[in-house]
Amino acid sequence: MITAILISGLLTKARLDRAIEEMRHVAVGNSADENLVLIFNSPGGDCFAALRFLDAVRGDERTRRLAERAEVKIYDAHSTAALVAFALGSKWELSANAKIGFHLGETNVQVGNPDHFDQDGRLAAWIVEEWRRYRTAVTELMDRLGLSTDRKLQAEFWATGRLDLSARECLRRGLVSRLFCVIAHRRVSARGMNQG
Amino acid sequence: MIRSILISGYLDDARLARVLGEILDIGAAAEPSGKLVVVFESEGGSLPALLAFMECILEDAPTRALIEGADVKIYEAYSAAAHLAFWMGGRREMAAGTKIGFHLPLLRLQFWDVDQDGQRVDAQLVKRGREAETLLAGLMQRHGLSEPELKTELYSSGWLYLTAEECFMRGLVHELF
Repeated sequence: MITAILISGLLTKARLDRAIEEMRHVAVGNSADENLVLIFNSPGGDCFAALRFLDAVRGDERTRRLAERAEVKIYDAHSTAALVAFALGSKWELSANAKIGFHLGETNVQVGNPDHFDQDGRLAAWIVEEWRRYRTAVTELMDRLGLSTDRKLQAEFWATGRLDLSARECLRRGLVSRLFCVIAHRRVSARGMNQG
Repeated sequence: MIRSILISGYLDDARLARVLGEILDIGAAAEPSGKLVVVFESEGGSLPALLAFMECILEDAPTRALIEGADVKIYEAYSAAAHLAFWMGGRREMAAGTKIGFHLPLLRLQFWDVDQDGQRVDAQLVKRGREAETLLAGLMQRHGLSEPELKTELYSSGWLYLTAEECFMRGLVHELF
């Protein structure tokens, strides 16, 4: 069994349901000495689906252990994808050309949809609660990553609702252990492939 | 070092140069026992880029060995990506319910590539196309896809699609996920 799982594209409920199914499959068939590799290439997606995905991973002992030990390779991870990528795993590598974007989250609601708005016009309680939970997850993650103690970063984050960090900045702050595609590109150019 | 590589999106020179860089980087790391895992999610790409990439791999014995022994996980692979996914690797897994698609080489012609009198295409381009066609035929032969019906489909429509389940049944992939 190949113990690598790709989490890519817009993170919809369907996409994340597929990822959790794959994780369960790997958790059942995986030998103890082989770590899961999670590969991220995503601009983000549905905040609430991401929360449910993390709940599902942590709610099962086998997937929780697998996810805690996982190695995470990030080609692109913004918003929800950044939350998931750093919420899981024990070792992170990031593309040298990438940025990581943390985000306070957003959601789409439909005017006239009784699931989204109460009769008095207020946003449905479940949306408010889920959004609060998402914000808590993001701020707890930023605490864990040591980003909460930097006043400048915090000011930027709370003023704009998002925080972008370059790959070098992530390496400098210890969020990732290695950047990939740095030295390698020099070797490739020596071989004559046009890098565009 | 994480020994997994993603090959995704449109496979042009830049994208495949990045991939090659990652492969060389992993090959240079001092972990000889570790296996390379290549993950595909791509609708295909450029034929010249594919050929250049394969040439680079073939000319370097350690890189070639690394690629030949790799595990390949396919979420999506059409055209050049399908060619690469089945050209490299020892063990393959494929997403259930998906398809792979091989096709005859496509040449993107510019006005100046065609002799306006004789309506002949630049010989270098045709040569490159023929090379790719030969590679595709060899790949199909290697994977037991030489049946007349399959060839008829490829040469009549230009494409050959196989479902994940059919790939599994034919032994092209070892497991569906």
